[in-house]
Formats: sequence, structure tokens, C-alpha cells
Amino acid sequence: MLKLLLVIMSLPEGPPPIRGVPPSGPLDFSLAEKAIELVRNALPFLNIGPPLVDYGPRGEVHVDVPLIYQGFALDRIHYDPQLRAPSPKGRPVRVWGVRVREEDVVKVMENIIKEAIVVEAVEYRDPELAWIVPLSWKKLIIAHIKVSNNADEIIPDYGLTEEIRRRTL
Amino acid sequence: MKILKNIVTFLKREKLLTILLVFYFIIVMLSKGDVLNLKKYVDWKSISMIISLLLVSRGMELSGAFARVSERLLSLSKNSCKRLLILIIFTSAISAMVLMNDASLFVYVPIILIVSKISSISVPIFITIVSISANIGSALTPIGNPQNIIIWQHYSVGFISFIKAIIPFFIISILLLLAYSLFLIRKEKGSLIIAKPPKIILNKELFISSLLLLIADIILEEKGFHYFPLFLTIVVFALIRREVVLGADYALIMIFILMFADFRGLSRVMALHNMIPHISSKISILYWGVLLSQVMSNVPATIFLIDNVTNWKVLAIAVNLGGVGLIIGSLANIIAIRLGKIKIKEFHKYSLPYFLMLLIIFTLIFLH
Repeated sequence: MLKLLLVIMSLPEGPPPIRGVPPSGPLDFSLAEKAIELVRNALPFLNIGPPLVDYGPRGEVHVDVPLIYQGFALDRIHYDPQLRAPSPKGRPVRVWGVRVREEDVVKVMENIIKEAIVVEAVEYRDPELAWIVPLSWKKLIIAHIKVSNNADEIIPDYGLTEEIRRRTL
Repeated sequence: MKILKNIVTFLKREKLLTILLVFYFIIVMLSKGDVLNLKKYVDWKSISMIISLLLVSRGMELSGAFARVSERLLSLSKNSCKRLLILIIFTSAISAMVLMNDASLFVYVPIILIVSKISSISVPIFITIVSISANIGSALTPIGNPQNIIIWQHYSVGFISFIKAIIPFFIISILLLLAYSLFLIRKEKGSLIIAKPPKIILNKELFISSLLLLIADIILEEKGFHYFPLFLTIVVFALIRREVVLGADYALIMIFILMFADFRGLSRVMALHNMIPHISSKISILYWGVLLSQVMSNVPATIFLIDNVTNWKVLAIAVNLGGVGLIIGSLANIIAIRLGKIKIKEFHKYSLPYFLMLLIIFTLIFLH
């Protein structure tokens, strides 16, 4: 009873506050087109990095393929080893009892990346001060490319870049 | 049980580490347990400096500054294949002097792959040449690669004295590489179609901090504050860019520690059984250094020889020369092949003739 009373007393007056920080400031929406154009220009130079193949203790396999630009990783593409095709963003694949040959994954993904297109729409992530330009393949969004606030430069995924460095050695 | 499974998964992934660990247990048995005393075998000063410089070079590389340099090369090449190759040779060599040879390859191999997407250049030639130039460039400074750091620390050589001693090797090797590369691409078409690729973001704060840390690390090391550079590097990166510290390759650090235990242990066991001949003449140091590097890679070769050789200058030349040639000679060669996606056979086709020419030149020099 005493606890309930204390909870009621600690409740703030009025509606609950909205969490998070307010937007960083005015944003020039015309830069969206510039960000898309920047990624479109980078698209022919994108490479496929060494596949990140992980085998779980119960024999499950998970494959991600890094997208590389000028030696930096931009994003990871989920790969379905059974379908031998990418899986859409947000749907990592786990399969059982399959052995994956890295060379085969690279070969498949190199062709897929040639068929990838830049989506004509962007997202803006205020906390990161970056535009996010999606890459799609056969109507599936397979990767996100991060572009700087002024839409002049590409921002790598530093954590993924480090992971690839470690696995390359 | 889960921990055991995780350890097994880790060891399966880190094959080199596993091999060195198995070899360590063999050496422990052969030395009747003496190698268990790691303090006696591992040069912790070198390990601390290697870790510190690995972090600093990663910081510099992740800043994007060197990616900007490599982009600039494309416009400076003025659509000429030969000009691009010459520029790549010099810039990758110069970068490797401060960045360490493997980090230099992470910068320059991608630019070759970019050019190859829009022009018909010979990727195996370019990748092999950039790998050789990174190895040669890194040979010039005590901080260019792990074997130089070990020699710098073990023999207490001054930073400038080291550079002065290696300059002749560097000049001969780079001039030979230049001539050899131009010979290799003599049939390549003169022009490249180069579009300007969009830029990677430049983190000025990270670049300046890494550069200042590099200078501070060298000065502190020269002044005899051996473990302070590592402490300073970790503190600064933890404050400004945690990923550099958190994302460090700790398996690679374990590999270097085990290399000391394994190969110094092996050297002492062999010395006890009088299995190592007297290595004192310049030519014998050269051939021991080169051949061991070709068989076991140049960092283990340096560790193996360091207690048996007094002439550090010839040892440094030998193990750096031994890093060229077969793929196993240097870790940088393996990185170049994996990043450039070229075949080992293709790499050897272009690296071995250069290695043999350089070996003949230095055999003649040391015979006189």
C-alpha cells in the first residue's frame, strides 16, 4: 500500500514527456537529391569484401557480405546460402547443414552488385547527421549507404571495416 | 560447455594462432618446460611498441586521409597507366614507412580495384607491385613493420641511425622495382579511363591525433620510456575514438607473443643441441635471413635469428628482402592477395623474378 502511494506521488503532472532530443536544426531537403546522385556515382566502384561466414555451435550458418568502397566497408548484405541470393535488410538468414564456399559467395554477389540500383528516396538520421540512401536488388532493399550531412562524402561503417581487417589477416 | 565451444570456434577461425599454440606446446616439451617462462622469451618492449603502432596506424588509416591521397593519385595520373603505377609505387612505399606495410595495402589495393573496374589494367601486376613497394617502403623506418620494431628494440638502435643504415637498401630496391614494373607493363595501353569517384569522409581530428601520437610514441621510445607509448595511445584513442581500441586485432597481438615464445624457444633449443651454425659473415646472415623468411615468414625469422646475430644492419636487410618473393615471406603479401583477389601463382609469377634479381645484387654487394 505504501509502495503504491509512493508510485502515485512520484508520477509527474500532465502527459508523459517525449523521449529523445529535438532535431539538430533546419535541414536542406534539396540535398536529398544530391545524396542520391553521390551514391549513384559511387555505385560502379563498389566491391564485394570477404564474406563473413559464421558457423554456430549447432551447425547453423550465417553469411553476411560486406560492401566495400575505397577499402572501407559501407554496409553488410545478408546472404541466403540456400537460395544463393541476398536476403532483404532486416532479415538475416540462418540455415543448417550447409557448407559455404567463400569464392562462390563472392562470385554470386559480384554479379548481384552489378544489378543493384540506387533507390530514388532517402532517409535522414538526425543523431548521426547523415542521409541514408538505400540500394535495391529486384525490389529488395539490400543495403544502406550513409552520406554526410552536406551530401558531399560517403561515411563508412567503421566497426564493420575493423571486422573485415581482422578477418583478412 | 558453452565457453569450450566458443574457444573451439575461435581457434577454428584463427588458424595461424592455433598452429602457433600447438607449436608452443611442442616447444615447451622440447625445452623441458623452460619456454613456459614467457618473461625470458617474449620481448615485451617490442610487443608493447607493436601494439601501440598498430593502433596508431589503424587510427590514421580509418581517418580517411590516405584514402584521399589515393584518390588524388587518379587525377595526378592524367589517364596514363605508367604514371599511375609509378605514383602508386612511391606513395605506397612512403605510406608504409609511417603506416606499417599491411595498413598501406588496405589503402592502395582498393584504389587498384577501383581503376580495374573502369580500365583494363593487369590487376595481378599492380597488386604484386604494390605489395613489394609496401614491403620495401616499410623496411626504411624502425616503425614500418614488426621485424624492424623488434630489431630497433632488441639492438637499441637510434631511430635516425636505423634509417641511415637502411637507405642504400631502400634506394637500390625501389629503383629496381621501378625499372621492373615499367618492363612488366610495357605492353599495357597508355591511357586509362578514370572517372572521379566520390570521396570518403575525412576525420581530421582522428588524423591529427594519430599523427601526434605517432610522433609522441617515437620520441618517448627514443627517450627510454618503453611502455608509456602504449599507455598514452590507449588513453587517447579511448577518449577520442573507442572503436580503434575496441576493434583492435587482439588475436594478432597473441600471434606476435606466441611467435616470440615459439621461435626464440626453438632457437634456444637448437642452440643447446649445437644445431645452429656460427652466423657471423654478412653473406651468411643474408642467406639465413632470406631463406628463413621464405620458409617461415620474416617476423618469425627475425625472432629466430636475433639471439644468434650481432650485425643488425645485415639482419634488417636480410629479413626485409626475405619478405619479398614467396607469399609466406611477409604477412603483407597474404593481405595483398586476399584483398586483391588474385591467385598465388599470379603473385609468384611477378614477385619471384624481382626477388631473385634483388638477392643477386645484395649477394654481390655483401661478397665485396
